[in-house]
Amino acid sequence: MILKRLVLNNFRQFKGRTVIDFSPIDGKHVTFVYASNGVGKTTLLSSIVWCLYGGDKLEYIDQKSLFLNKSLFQELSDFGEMTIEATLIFEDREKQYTVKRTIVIQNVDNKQKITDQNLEVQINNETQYNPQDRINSVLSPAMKEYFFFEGEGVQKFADESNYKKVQDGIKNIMKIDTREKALSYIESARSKFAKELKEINAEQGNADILPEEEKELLIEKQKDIKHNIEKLNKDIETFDDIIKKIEINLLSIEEIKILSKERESLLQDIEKAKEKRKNLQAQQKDKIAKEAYLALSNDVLTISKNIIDEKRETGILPVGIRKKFVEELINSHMCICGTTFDSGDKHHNKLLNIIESVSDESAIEDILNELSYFIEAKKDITSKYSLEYKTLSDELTNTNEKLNSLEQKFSTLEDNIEDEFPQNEENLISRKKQTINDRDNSIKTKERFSIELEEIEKKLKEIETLINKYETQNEAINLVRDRIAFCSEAVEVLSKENAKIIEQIRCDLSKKINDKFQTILHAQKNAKIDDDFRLIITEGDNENISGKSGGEGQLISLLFISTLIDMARNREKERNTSDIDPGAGIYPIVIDAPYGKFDTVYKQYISEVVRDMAPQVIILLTQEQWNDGKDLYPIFKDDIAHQYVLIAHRPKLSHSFSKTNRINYNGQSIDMEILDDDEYTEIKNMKDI
Amino acid sequence: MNLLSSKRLKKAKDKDIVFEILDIKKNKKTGFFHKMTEIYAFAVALGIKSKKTEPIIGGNGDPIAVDLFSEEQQRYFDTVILFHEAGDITKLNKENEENINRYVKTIEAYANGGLAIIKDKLVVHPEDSFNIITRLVHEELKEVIPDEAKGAFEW
Repeated sequence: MILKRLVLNNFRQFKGRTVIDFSPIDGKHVTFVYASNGVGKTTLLSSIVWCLYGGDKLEYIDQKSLFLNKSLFQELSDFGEMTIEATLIFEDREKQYTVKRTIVIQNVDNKQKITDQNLEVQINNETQYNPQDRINSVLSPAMKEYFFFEGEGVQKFADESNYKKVQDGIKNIMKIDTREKALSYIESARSKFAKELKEINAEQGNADILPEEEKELLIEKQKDIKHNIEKLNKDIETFDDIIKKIEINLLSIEEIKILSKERESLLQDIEKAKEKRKNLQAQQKDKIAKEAYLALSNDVLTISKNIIDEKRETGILPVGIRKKFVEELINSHMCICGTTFDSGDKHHNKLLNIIESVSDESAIEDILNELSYFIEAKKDITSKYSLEYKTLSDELTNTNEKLNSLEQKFSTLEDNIEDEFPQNEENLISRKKQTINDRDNSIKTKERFSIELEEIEKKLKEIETLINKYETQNEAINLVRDRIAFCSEAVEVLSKENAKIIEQIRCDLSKKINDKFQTILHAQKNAKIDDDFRLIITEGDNENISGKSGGEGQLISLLFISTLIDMARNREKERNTSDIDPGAGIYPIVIDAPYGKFDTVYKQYISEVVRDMAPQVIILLTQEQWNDGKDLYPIFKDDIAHQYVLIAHRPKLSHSFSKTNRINYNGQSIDMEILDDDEYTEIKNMKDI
Repeated sequence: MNLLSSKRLKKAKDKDIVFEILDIKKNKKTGFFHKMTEIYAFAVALGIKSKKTEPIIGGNGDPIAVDLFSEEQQRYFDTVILFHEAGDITKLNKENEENINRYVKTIEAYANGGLAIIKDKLVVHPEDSFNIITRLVHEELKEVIPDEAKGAFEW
């Protein structure tokens, strides 16, 4: 789509017939329109949009309902009418479109009232029957904001809340919307067929829900339940395994318990044997400590006995009153005659005399007698000692052997117990209980699913029968069903493909925008379209810094449009003529006051982008923004096809010959405001001045 | 009047170690004799069996009162005197101071002789005291014990 000419008739400020050409000349594609504020720049933008899309209100400007030039309106009598006209000639895909929109304004109570509107579209001089559709198919109304910008509105795409605009722009310009429209048509068709089928079924007394749909649902449900049953079977199997393992462990605990009891008993036996050994050893020690000296003295005892016996036999041993006997009588106060006495009486003194006369030999005899008894008592001491010691030794040996054997048994038992020491019994029992519980629950759930499955299978059989019945009953139903099935399949395929294409475009677009952004700014910043289709600027560690700079926001918005147009242009080049691909292949840009209050550097950045963003660029700006071309001319000089200036005719000047209402061109100073009785705007091609 | 009962039997100072090893009150690990009198009587028996007397010369350890010896041990000492004095029963007269002194010295000499034998054996491996003493006894007895008891006395 390339704009060639705009013709306005009595359109707001523009009195009478106003013509403005935009056609590129010799590859030069930029048109500049200079005007002071309020003179008609935005009206030009608004007139183009209105011409294309119509409406009772004008866009971008204040006093949206004023279509007719003010001075002409004032001349209108009450209920007088006048026709306003906007004609736009453009070319698209080698066809020339002439769009002529007229509106009739009537003076009603000094207000402009629309009484009639008309649109005529000719393509290659042939009048079209559906004129608005023809225009919309080239550039849909939804797309106007991507190509016709007003002032700072150019920044809008960088606003994160406008991600939908970014997404829609991609879809429309890259022709995805055509696909989406197709998708929507197919969905509508499917609904229509489904409705049709319901009606047929209703006529035949069939159920509301399609048996095929119900069958699908049931099969889906059947699949889910089978999957669940399979999972439950695995769970039950796992639970059984766990229970088995626990039971084995518990069994081994029982075995270990028996072994432990055996071990306890062995320990007791060992303790007893050790005690016995200790006793025997103590007895042996005692025997040695107390009796060994006598056992060793067998000879001494025997010889002593022989000596005593020999002395007795030979009568060498003294005989008489034994001293001890007399001593005992004195101690018991009894005389030999049997009389009891007191100390110092005659019986006592007599006994004292006797004791003095009793010889020592009698005391020796006493000793020898006692020795005789002693030796007699100990005569077999050595044998006795030896035999008793032998008995103790034998017992000790047996006890030691027994102890060894017990300790060996104990050690073997201990090894077995250690090797197979199972987990804590209480834990195992509680785990077993829990696992049995889980298994039972799984079995119950499985049973419930099985019943449900049986019911589904039963229903499926019934539905199958129903479907068979329908199939034979009515071929029309089959046909509608086939159509529904086709639509469903087409919807699925198209949806997937659309999503894939959009994602691919988003990635390509994002990369290209970033490349251009970095080329222009040379900064450590990145511009991208994120997964949510937000147009953002990041810095450093992917930190989103969008919105911090108005200049960058405007830049990235322009880059988005320019890259999108660029991609569309490339796509157009590769287009196959047989493609179902309505709409424009290339797009113009009409941009009103794009520079805002940016400094020279940003103006230059933006200018570079604007210059290259479309095959046709129309820039509307004030003389201040143009600034005698100091900043912008060097950038655009090779691309300027037309330059227009809007001259305000007014009864009273607003700027009185100051520099602000003049523009310099080729060394001439052009007044942009002229004193006149009428108030209107005149457009002049600067070449003609 | 029994003059012996008030006497004390001396032991040589250098033999104190035997008591320290064998008296359970002094060493629970190596000792197994519950009284010093038992060690003393055992030493006397060993001395007489080995015909080894060793008079106590020079310093002596704490002597043991005769009263502390059991009646049986005292009877045994009488047989030792009878044996030593080759049947001279007058040497058993305990009212005679001279006799008693001789009696005491004889017992002390045998005890000291026996203690010398024990000391020789014990000092190397005191920890093996029980086996050393047992072996000492059984070596002495092996010729006189009955056949049925011999198993316990073979080493």
